[in-house]
Amino acid sequence: MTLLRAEHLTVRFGGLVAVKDVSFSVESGQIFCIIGPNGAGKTTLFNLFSRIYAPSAGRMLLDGVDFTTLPPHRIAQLGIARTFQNLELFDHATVLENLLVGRHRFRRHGFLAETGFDQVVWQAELESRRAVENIIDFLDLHRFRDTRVGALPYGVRKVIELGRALCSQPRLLLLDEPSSGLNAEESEDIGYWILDIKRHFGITVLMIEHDMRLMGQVSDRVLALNEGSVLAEGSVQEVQSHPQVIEAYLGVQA
Amino acid sequence: MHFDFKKNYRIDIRLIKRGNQAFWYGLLLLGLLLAPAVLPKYFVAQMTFILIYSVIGAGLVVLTGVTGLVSLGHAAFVAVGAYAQAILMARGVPLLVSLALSGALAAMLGLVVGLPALRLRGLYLAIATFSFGFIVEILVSHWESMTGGNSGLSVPTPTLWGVAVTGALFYYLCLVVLVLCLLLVLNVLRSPTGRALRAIRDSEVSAQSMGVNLALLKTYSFVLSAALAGLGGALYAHVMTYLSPEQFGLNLSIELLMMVVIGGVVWLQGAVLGAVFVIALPQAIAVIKDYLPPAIGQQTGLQPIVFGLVILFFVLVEPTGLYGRWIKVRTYLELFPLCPGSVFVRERHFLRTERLK
Repeated sequence: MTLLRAEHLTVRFGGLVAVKDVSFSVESGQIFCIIGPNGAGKTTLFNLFSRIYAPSAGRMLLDGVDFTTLPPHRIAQLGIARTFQNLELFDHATVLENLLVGRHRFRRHGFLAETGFDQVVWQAELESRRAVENIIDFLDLHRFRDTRVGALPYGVRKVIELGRALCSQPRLLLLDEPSSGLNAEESEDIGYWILDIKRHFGITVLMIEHDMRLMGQVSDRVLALNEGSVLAEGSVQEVQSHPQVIEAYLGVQA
Repeated sequence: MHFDFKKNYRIDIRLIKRGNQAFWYGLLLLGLLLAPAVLPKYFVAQMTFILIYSVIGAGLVVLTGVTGLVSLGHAAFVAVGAYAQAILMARGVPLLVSLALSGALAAMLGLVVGLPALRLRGLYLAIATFSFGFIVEILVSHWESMTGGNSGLSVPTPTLWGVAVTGALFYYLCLVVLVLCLLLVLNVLRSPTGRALRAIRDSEVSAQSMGVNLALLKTYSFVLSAALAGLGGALYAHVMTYLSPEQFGLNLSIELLMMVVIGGVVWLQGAVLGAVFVIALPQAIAVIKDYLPPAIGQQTGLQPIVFGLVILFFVLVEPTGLYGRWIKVRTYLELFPLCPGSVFVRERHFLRTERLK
């Protein structure tokens, strides 16, 4: 079953074409990896899926629902959560609060109920905390629960961002370079977690990754981009041995 | 050293987290209740001012400290609340109803101002709200049929069930209003909305991708803040008994902003501490004036200079304000003698990446 389908996506910034007629589809339950050299348009694609950018042409569907023109804050409700390449955490809040923001899409009560903090809000809050504790268990974040995020090391923050995205219980998880800036050990942990996310939570993962080892370890399917267009799509081996991909990464032999 | 053993989630969510908190806040409330019986009239009047400023400050904490939006036009909301109160009371509207209406009117204005605020940030928002403050001030001084213009408007004595609410009674009214407002804001801040507001302050783009409707919540923050300012203004009208446009100029806006910065802009306690400070400082200056050499003591503009120095001091040395300093002192005492000096070192960000716009 196809979960995410991108059809002929094109993004132009003035004269620059960042993404050129990109089409692909992600099957439900897959770990789908996008690779490509710097400036290939990978993050631009992610920003399209989270509706921070609007495509100049083409459309995007999640489970058959067209979300090409959906406002950005509705994307989470649709079931897409993401992390950011350079971390966009709420630095002045604790880890717990950060994760709880991930639950924002489940808010059902109005402003008035909140000013009185009635039973409905209480129950919703307790429910949120139960859900968040599951993620804290899963990612082993107990030690940091009440620590301010700004005070934590980069590797931990990276995990917290992953946790925050998981808290929104998405159908599709977009990971923008989950292993960048991590040491070998942390990066390996991330790899296992990504596999667990797929197995235990049944979440489909779409990720951008530069670490070829991690990519090979987890990916079911790989898409290679260069200068905004698709170079190759297929299994890890197929893409890695694709002549054009090798050329894009290593250049042509003179 | 105090450890919190959390046995269930409720401990985290409820307002009073520890037994000793209940004790100290209870004691404070008791002291405030007994104050009019013990203290001279003049002190009670000053404390009434503090309560009113705290109501306004609570709104500014929500807007500036929690949501991260700056307003240099908050005096305008106070003015709208104050004039609405005076006009409604003169038309015979009951006290409590007119208080609510004044707050609601200011909230509606907050909605109007909140809309451009969705597109503006930082300095630009400050300028926009600054001009809004001017517009309201000019409107008030020229709409003579309603506001009395520059010649002013007298405020009727408030009555509740036939009893004149002045002096100690008015102090109690302000106290009740403040406590209710603080509870309301505390509830908002511990709910998903409060977290979403803090999320907007720290990173708009990721708040949005977590499902936070930026436009709605920023507007909400403005509306809530304006409503509290309007309510504070309505109470303020009764203390002043006579309203004129120049009371609500830029000076007041800056004084209010300064108040929350000095108190500690991210905490509600900061708003109250700031109010105490802002009301007490002029008194302290007036007292000290007589002991200073005449060259300094008789200088015109001594008060603004001292205010300026104080705010400079806080911005440079203690940006977390009085309440932030108090937290540090308290932690130090709790950990004593094991508190290393590095505990409170402000973290510096060496990694500054260009944020996704």
